[in-house]
Amino acid sequence: MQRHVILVSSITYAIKGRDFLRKNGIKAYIEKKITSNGNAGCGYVIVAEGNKSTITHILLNSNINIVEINSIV
Amino acid sequence: MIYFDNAATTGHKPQSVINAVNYALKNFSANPGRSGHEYSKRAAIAIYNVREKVSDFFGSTGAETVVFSLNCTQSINYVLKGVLKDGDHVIISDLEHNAVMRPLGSMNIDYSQASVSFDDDSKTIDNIVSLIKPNTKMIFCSAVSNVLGKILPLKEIGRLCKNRGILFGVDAAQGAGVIPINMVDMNIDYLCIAAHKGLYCPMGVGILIARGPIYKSIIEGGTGTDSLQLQQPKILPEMLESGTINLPLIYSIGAGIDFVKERIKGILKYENMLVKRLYNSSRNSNITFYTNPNIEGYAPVICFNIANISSDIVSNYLNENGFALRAGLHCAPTAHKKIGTLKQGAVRFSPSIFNNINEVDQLVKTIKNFKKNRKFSID
Repeated sequence: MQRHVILVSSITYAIKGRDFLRKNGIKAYIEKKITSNGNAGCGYVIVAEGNKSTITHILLNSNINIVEINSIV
Repeated sequence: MIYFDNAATTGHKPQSVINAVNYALKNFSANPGRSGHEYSKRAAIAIYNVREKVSDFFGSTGAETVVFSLNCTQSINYVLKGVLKDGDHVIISDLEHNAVMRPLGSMNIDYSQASVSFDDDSKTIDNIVSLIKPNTKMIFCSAVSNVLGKILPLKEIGRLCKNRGILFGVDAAQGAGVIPINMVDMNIDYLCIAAHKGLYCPMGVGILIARGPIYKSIIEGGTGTDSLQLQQPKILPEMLESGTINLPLIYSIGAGIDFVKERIKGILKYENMLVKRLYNSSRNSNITFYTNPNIEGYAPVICFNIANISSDIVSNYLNENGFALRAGLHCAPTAHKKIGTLKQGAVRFSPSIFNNINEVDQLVKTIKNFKKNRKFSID
């Protein structure tokens, strides 16, 4: 199952996004953004497992602005 | 001391609210949304759950619309100073608190005051309509007058705003937790709430629910997001929550809402019954009440005076006899101007769900004793 690390605009939207994904049967949790490329700074991400386009669709339909999405194989 | 000053702050807090503060202090003393460790995340989730509860209770559209502030006044400042700009026109009512009047005065914004009818809401709407200009950006009014208890026709004003493309802001300091408020149904864009009044929480925490845009913040600082950017993020709620928020008190809002939600239909009826008891038992030629609680459209706040005696003297006498009521202008000189009490002020009676008939009867008896012992020729 592919995992996706989704950067959103705040902790509030991270929790909201996590809850929407879970309601739609997608395994998701939040964690603090971890950077390894020097682009430090506060922020939270949703880590979700499943189809990328489905996850994106759910979040956008929930009015959650996706700042960045990275998939981990 | 029998406490009848609940419009200033509810004097008795439910045990569940006190327990919630204690629970939060013991279990969530980490900075929510900042540090990222499990303790911090748990605190952030606790705050988020309160946001959701607030949004649901007041009929908003999601947790992200709920901003926590220090008090209702701060929430009002966030709205007026974050939305209005030079050239905009605002309509307010003639019952507004200084929490509205002073920000507008300091901003040098063009505003008009619509007269509120005490017994005919359609007249109030007509008065508002007559003041609308092409540049009217917002109508901002109290849900309930903190002096007179008059409930403003929020649903009708909201409908008017929707039809005219005007933003609608409400100061719900006295209304939240006492009258039903649904932001979507009433088309309210901004709802400002004092949690320490009708939601029975501690002092020091307020709420702004913003469905409409906030263009700028009156405070800037850390938000736990976008730290590389030196500009304040534009995303609510964090945009208006710079600095560490008061988690234990915010957490107690959830318990306050649970307490009120179970009783929402009964609170207004019960407290109005106590107001009517005072009015019907003590009304006579020497006592002036400025509203009639026997008519529809009033929340449990009423003001009175005894003859032409200073309201401060009356409230001081009541205090000496074990009753807490507030005299003076209640930070709402416009409302007092309307009823002609700018000089004398008035004594405000505002019960809560924790008061009872026996306490009101004791107050009535004490007021009557005051009359017996005084000559009405003070000025």
